[in-house]
Amino acid sequence: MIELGQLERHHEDFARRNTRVIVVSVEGLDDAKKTQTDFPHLIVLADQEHGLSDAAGLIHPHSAPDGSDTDAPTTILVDRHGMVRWLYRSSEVIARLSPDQVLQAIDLHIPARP
Amino acid sequence: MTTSSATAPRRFPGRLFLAMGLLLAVLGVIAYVVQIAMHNLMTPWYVPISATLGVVFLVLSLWQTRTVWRVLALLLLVLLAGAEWAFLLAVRLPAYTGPVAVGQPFPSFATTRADGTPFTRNDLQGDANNVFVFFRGRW
Repeated sequence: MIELGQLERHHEDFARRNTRVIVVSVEGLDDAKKTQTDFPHLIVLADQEHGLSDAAGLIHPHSAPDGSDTDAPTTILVDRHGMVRWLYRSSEVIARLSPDQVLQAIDLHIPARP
Repeated sequence: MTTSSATAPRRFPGRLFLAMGLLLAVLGVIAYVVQIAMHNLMTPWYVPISATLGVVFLVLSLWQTRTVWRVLALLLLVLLAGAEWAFLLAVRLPAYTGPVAVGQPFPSFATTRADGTPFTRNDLQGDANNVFVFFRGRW
């Protein structure tokens, strides 16, 4: 959740780049609602049915403390036409990108509109 | 006169090594707590490294004086270092081999927003770019 807090605090930087931050986990609606309340500038998805996580191939099986599935921590940049511009996944579960690194990736991979 | 302090036997030889070993292991854990408090999410490789160095110092301490307490401290530190290495190495992720590819459209999907409304690939097209951040959960 530290990661989401950092992204929330940088929401103006993402808005300046005309970029929405969509955070996804396989938790249910109740948890997603709490997350949305905690981080109002992010778009929170409740992917309990794995509709998005399976489509993107991001399920990390049996990796939750209770043995259930989770999403493998991954960051994907998609432009406004729906094209994938960048994908990042650390080899370490506990490592995360900083907001500055995500912003740099946006600047690098999605040119600003004239 | 034979009272030179330089030649007097030390009471607890290796005590400095013992203290340094324990201190290193504890400092590694404290540094990690500080790192998290500062919201820095880098991988803390320094934690098992400091515990391993602590084991080395404890071995040096035992080399100089063997006591039950030092053996116990060494065993505890070996367990701690082992657990820290195991945790960091066990939580590695395999390389991504899924269907998402740079330069290709994002795969078709259907999921749900936190407010219960649907969210699909069509919602990615519009005025704004999107960054998906997949995370493990609230826990």
